[in-house]
Amino acid sequence: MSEPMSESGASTPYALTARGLHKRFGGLTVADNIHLSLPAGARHALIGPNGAGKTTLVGLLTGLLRIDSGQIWLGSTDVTRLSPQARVKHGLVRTFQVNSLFPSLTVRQNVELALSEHAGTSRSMLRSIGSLTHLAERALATLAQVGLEHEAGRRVSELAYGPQRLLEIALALALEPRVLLLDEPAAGVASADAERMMSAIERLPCDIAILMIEHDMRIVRRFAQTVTVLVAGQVLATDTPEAIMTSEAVRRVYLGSGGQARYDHRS
Amino acid sequence: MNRLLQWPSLEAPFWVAALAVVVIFPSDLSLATAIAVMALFAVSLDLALGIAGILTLGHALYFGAGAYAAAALATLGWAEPVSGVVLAGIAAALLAGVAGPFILRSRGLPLIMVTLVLGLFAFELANKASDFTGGDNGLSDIVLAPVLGVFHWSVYARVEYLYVLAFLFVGFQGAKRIVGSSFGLALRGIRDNPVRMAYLGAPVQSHLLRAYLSSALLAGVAGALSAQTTRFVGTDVLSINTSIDVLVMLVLGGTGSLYGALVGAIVYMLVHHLAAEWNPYHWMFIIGALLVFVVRIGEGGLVGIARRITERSRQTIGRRAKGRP
Ligand SMILES: Nc1ncnc2c1ncn2[C@@H]1O[C@H](COP(=O)(O)OP(=O)(O)OP(=O)(O)O)[C@@H](O)[C@H]1O
Ligand SMILES: [Mg+2]
Repeated sequence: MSEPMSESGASTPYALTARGLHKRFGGLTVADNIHLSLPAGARHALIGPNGAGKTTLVGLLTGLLRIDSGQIWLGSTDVTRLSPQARVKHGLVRTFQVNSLFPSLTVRQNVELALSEHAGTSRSMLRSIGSLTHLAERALATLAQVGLEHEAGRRVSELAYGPQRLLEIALALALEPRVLLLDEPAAGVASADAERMMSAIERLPCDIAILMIEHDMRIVRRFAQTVTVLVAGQVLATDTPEAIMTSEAVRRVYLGSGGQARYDHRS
Repeated sequence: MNRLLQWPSLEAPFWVAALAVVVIFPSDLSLATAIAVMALFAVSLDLALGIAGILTLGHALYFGAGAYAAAALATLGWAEPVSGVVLAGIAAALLAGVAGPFILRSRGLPLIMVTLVLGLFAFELANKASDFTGGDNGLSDIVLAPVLGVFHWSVYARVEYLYVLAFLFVGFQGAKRIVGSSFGLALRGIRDNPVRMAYLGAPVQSHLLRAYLSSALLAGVAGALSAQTTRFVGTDVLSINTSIDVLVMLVLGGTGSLYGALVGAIVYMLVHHLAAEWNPYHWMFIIGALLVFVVRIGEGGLVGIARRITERSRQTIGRRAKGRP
């Protein structure tokens, strides 16, 4: 199979390329011939009504779910058959729509887990974690990126929802991703924390390719250069935010699914 | 700093007290030896179950494997005891290396079932293989050289106790070391949320297997110590009761802190001993009532209860000091 090349410079492959992804759950098609390419530094939003298959697509890209057919590349590496762990090692990192943290550990330990897997120190059984000073420092630095450094000593189970959402992002950042898939990072977060969240995301290194699932059109417009609309497992359109928001076809989908209020109200 | 290692201030007095037992209770050292053996066994279970979240109901497999390995070595003429214990521990770890990849494929209830069935199978196998295990009579011709060539085994079990205590100390420090490493943190991460661990790029299965091997090693050492100090191995070392006993000890003391394993083993064995004197048939009721009480009162077992009491009294003292009633 030929390597995926970006249209402009034939020598620089996309950070992430998906070609012809198919996935069915029984009789339900949740991914129907999906093509997606993110160049390095992409700020790409993925929108679509509830149940469109957005979270499923992230699951397919990261290897949580097995695709029925199609191909996935990270850079020029074909990762279609690699395990989730191996894809992480190639720089593909995700966050979860429903918080997926380590509730009995402290905020700092959560980040240290990610850091030590990333640095490969998690295999050392006898070196005290306290002696890995750079680990603690880098954990605090990572937490500072999302404004959580003052919660470092708190148990995650004692943390409010907003800060937990921020910690979701911090765990991903600790892995120094090349491609970052964010599944509704600001969903259900109060506006102050949502603002912290968005400014943290905007401050991320500009060479990271980011795909963000988001319903709030204000956030989409502020964040994205490109928007893909997913409906019933199919890509309806990929375009600039402005073009998407004025598109009659897109508008009809949201009207049809009863999502009008949400779409209009927030845009 | 680390929530589960916040008891070190009590640890030094604990080991001193354990040593003082030799002087204070010179005629109860057989019991003390048995307690120390079970404490090490409970520590090994805590590493697998409390720290890594491997819900096993068949840990007697490794205790028994260590016991039989130690007995076999002694019968074959390998009389040096310390190396016998080490070899028996390695034998148990090797067994875990074979069974582990299969066992660790499941989690939760299926895992409990798999370990239970494997334990029952091993027990039946030991009963059938009476040429090797002595069947119902067990193995009792265990002849050992003096410890380090100088300390002769005694009828009062003083050498036995100190010998086991030394292994318990080293085993406990080793377990603490593992828990305090970034590997140990990864194990607790897997216990909390294995899916997210995979998405941090963690080799979840290999982490679990290494935790399981370390745990089996310690369980095998405990089994070997039991065989050497009682000079007897019966098939009950492999029985489901042995697995349940150690689990009850651990839950009673509190899982996931390592200290709970020590406390649980001591309390369980003492209650067993005292209640059995009082009524040899109904001592399990007392243990049962104690267990229900501890579990009802909240997480963390006896160690958790003690921690909450000290935290609360510290808060009260703090408030008084600030002049607020
Ligand atoms: N493991 C699964 N087995 C069967 N069906 C599933 C599974 N996971 C998701 N689905 C179904 O696939 C469809 C797509 O779900 P998905 O979670 O990807 O939607 P989404 O676009 O992320 O929606 P939302 O905006 O609500 O998060 C839904 O109809 C869902 O019920
Ligand atoms: Mg979703």
